[in-house]
Amino acid sequence: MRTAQLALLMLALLLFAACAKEVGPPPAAEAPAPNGPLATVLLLADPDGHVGTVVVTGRKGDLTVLDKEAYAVQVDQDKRLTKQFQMSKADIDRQLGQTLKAFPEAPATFILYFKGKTTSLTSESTKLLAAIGKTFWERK
Amino acid sequence: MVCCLTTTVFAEGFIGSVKTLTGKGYVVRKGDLQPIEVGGHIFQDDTLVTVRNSTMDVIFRDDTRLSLGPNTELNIDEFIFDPLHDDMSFLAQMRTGSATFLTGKMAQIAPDKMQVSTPLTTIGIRGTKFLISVEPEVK
Repeated sequence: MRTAQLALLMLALLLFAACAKEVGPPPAAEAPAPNGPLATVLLLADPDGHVGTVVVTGRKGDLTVLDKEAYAVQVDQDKRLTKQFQMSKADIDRQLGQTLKAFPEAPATFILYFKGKTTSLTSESTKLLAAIGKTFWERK
Repeated sequence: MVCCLTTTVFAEGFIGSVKTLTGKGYVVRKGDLQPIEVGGHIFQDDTLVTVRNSTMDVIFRDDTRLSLGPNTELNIDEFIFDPLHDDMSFLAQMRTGSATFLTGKMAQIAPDKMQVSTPLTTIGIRGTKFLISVEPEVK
């Protein structure tokens, strides 16, 4: 009888531990590579191929304008901006691949039109419904 | 009743939400560190936190997309998107880690209103996709 009670108590404790939610502080970040850049800014092309501009200003007043795809500027150990340079795809994948891989898909937009002042869709919009459903289930 | 109304107003004031999450994501809100899940709302002055092997994607109300890599801390200092009153601002502070930004409608309407700062740089954004990586412990 006592064994059964002990087993029940152990089971209850196990269940309680399993239900407890971990909300502890996140672990400390890894140490930086010695002599490596302190920061990197890399310009990328938009999903539609357009390449914009970023203006990077260092703490010592130095300034770099990035306006070409895959060009980057770094902050060196002296806390100055390096000259901008083209980053190879291999370097981008090796150094920053995990972050890039996590980037979400662009939102899908569908515009539906109704006939006059009715609640009936136009035939073109009706045809879009299948595509909307397919996109929804693919991204769900 | 007052409590319910307060909650509603607060919930309506969100500026973005978590779209996807791998591993664990946290938010520091009003000094409290709390876990955040997919669909969780982001508010102005939140600090977004990811840990080892974790990534978090956020979509803001102007369609700006932000993807945090592992071991990242990023504070949203200000996010205002009110095109009707020409009131727009996106100011973020990246303390450590890595993040990819793809600017949304705000950068199209007011390209000089978006800025991200790191401990050693300030980045003015003129409508584009870019990535920032900041080593830890940089002061």
